[in-house]
Amino acid sequence: MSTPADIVRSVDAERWRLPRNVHDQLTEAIYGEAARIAERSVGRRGSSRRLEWQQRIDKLVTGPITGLPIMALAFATVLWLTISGANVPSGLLATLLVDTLHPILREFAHAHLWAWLAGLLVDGMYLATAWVISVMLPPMAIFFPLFTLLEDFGYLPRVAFNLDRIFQRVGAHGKQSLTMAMGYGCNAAGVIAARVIDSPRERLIAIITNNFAICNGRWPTQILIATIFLGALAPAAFAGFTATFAVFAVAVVGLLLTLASSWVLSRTVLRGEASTFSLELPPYRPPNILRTLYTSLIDRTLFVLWRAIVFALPAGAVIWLVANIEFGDQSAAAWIVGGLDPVAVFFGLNGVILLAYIIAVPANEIVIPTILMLTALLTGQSELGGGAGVMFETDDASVHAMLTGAGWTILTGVCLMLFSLCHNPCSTTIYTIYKETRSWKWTALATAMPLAIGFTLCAVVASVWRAAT
Amino acid sequence: MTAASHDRSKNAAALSAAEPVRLEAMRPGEREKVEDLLRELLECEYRGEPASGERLFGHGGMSREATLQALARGAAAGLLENAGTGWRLTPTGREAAVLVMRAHRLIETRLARESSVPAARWHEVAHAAEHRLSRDEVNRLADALDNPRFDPHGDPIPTREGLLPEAEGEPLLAWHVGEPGVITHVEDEPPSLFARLVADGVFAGMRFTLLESMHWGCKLRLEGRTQVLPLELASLVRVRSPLATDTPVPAGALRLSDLGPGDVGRVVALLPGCIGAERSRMLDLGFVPGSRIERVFQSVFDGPVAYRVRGTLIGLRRSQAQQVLVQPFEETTP
Repeated sequence: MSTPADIVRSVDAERWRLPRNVHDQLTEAIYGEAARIAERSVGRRGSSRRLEWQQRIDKLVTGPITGLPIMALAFATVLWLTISGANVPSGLLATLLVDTLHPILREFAHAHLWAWLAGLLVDGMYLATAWVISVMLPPMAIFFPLFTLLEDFGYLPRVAFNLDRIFQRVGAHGKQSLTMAMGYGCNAAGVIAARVIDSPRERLIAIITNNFAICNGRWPTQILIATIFLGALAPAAFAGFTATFAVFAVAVVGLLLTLASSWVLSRTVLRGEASTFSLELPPYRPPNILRTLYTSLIDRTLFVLWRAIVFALPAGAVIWLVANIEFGDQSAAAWIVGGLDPVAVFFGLNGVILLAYIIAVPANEIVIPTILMLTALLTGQSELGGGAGVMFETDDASVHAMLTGAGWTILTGVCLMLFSLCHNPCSTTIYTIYKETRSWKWTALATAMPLAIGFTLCAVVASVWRAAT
Repeated sequence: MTAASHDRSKNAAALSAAEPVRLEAMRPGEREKVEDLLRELLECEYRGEPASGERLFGHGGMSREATLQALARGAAAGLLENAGTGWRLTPTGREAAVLVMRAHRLIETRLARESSVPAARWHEVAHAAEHRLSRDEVNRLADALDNPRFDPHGDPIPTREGLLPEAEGEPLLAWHVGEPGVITHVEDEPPSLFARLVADGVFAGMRFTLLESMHWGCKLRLEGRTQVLPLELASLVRVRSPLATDTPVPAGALRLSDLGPGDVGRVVALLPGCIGAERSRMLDLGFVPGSRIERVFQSVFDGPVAYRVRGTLIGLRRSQAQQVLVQPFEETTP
């Protein structure tokens, strides 16, 4: 007759005698049975021809010789289409919103409101928003759908597959390339996209380094500066190509910085081995173009644009205020720029650029308008626009003339491009990083690290440049 | 633990030191040292080895002086006593030691299953955390892990009641050539050598056959792959004879990573090195025994390889493909 105590004792003894992997065996048996049932009951249509061309594409796209060049080409093509395709609609929007609507609104406001309120609303908030829309909407409306098409086609997972080895070498995950690709549209979106990486350590690396993917708010800065400073160096026929190449080169520097900082992070604060990698490579399928256009316009373009507008409105007010509130004999902007100048020049930049970046913490999109407006104001070239604090759209040649008139050199242009590549992320991205990591420490690191790298890079370039010339 | 024995050990402690300090009241650094010694004593007891002072000196990087001081403190607290030939645990001491061992092995299990902490750092992390968990916390951890029986090194985890099975297995170096066996334990100290074993893919639970035993090491057939272990690594491995429930490795089976381009195979098993979330993920992707698998193409720089499983292409790194045992077969094209 066995007592409960006996039973417990014998169970305890038996416990150790079960096969060690008994749980695994059970799970595997269940999975195996499920697979057998599926095989018996699910019919497959013969698709050997489809399989054949899929394999042919894969051979090209992931091939040891062709894989990387195709990737660079695809990326450069998307860039080129975005840059060259955005020009015309950007011009049209600027003509409509700035050249036509702005004077009408201005006249109306000045007729009915106090001068300062009219200035704040129309010359400050309206113009900043109009600028952001005309500069941002066209490239986004081209860039996001193009990327969604590549994603839909099934190409992006192949990029992660191709680059995994490189990312593994620096202690990161191949899927980080996907988060970077999202970051080229919007860093906040890229940070959220890092959820696809399972391991928390590698996810953090992807989040912290995402800022090195130039976001949509920064492309206009890169493109404009590359066009007027570097494109102008080449013969007119090659200007567009030279500018595209310069922007591409900055993007490559961004990739290299991503790898370098991932390497450093994975050996210091985020120590550990690169973990596992299993990635489904979905079959290629013809993308559904209409649906892609619709979803990328609604989900991404309008979402990011809306965010930019929300930030541009108050930022426009701030720009107008610093340009128009006077302390003593000059405006607040002049005081701040004068104070920042000595530091900024050391980094190959100038006070206007630094002030623009401080005002533009909420949204990188307004960096260029702020720079133009402040430069015009401080160099007394305000006849180009329409009075103090008015932002304007002028053609490339007169922007170039105005900036060189304010003492800009090619060095300033190059340093601005580098600084635009690495400085702190915009406030939305910082907030998103906090929401995703729930840690002030990592948020602070993600904010400070790019800024420190940016200043260092600019200082090095500036001193080498000065030593060489 | 009865009240009487508790009193006895208390009395003993009161005799040997003016002011006995209980384990819970020790300073954290001190308590860690004493607990480490208790663990080591439990290890000796379990393996039936004498725990002489010589054996304990230098354990866990402690100096001779620190070891002696920790021994004195432990004795004063009634946790251990000198038995002439060596040191041994008192019942109170054993209880404390079992709790630390249970915490350590549970934490390692959790790290292996749920984190991306590399295997070479499990010990370090668990060692830092094991002294900070209360009995309740340890029990909750065990419940959260479904009361596992063995840790990732193949060591049994003491039960809630403090029970352990009989020690089993013998050193790999004492094994007979030509005989099949199963790895039961992979020692994780020193960490640098253990990291090399992990890098070589040697885990507890793997099936092997000893091919050759040389004076500088040995050569094994380990789950479909021939592996050479130098002496310093081989001496960290303990093995046992296969049980009735251990199916032998089929002849001709290979690791998935050794499959040639375009070759086809059938999955035999996922190896024990593939644990936790990674294991479920592999199973989800269709790497289940019986699945047909084909190596399709390889990415640049010797990166991941794409395999076709159940109609899907899956990219896997070499280190993961090593965890799949496959039986290659010739496919007659229709």
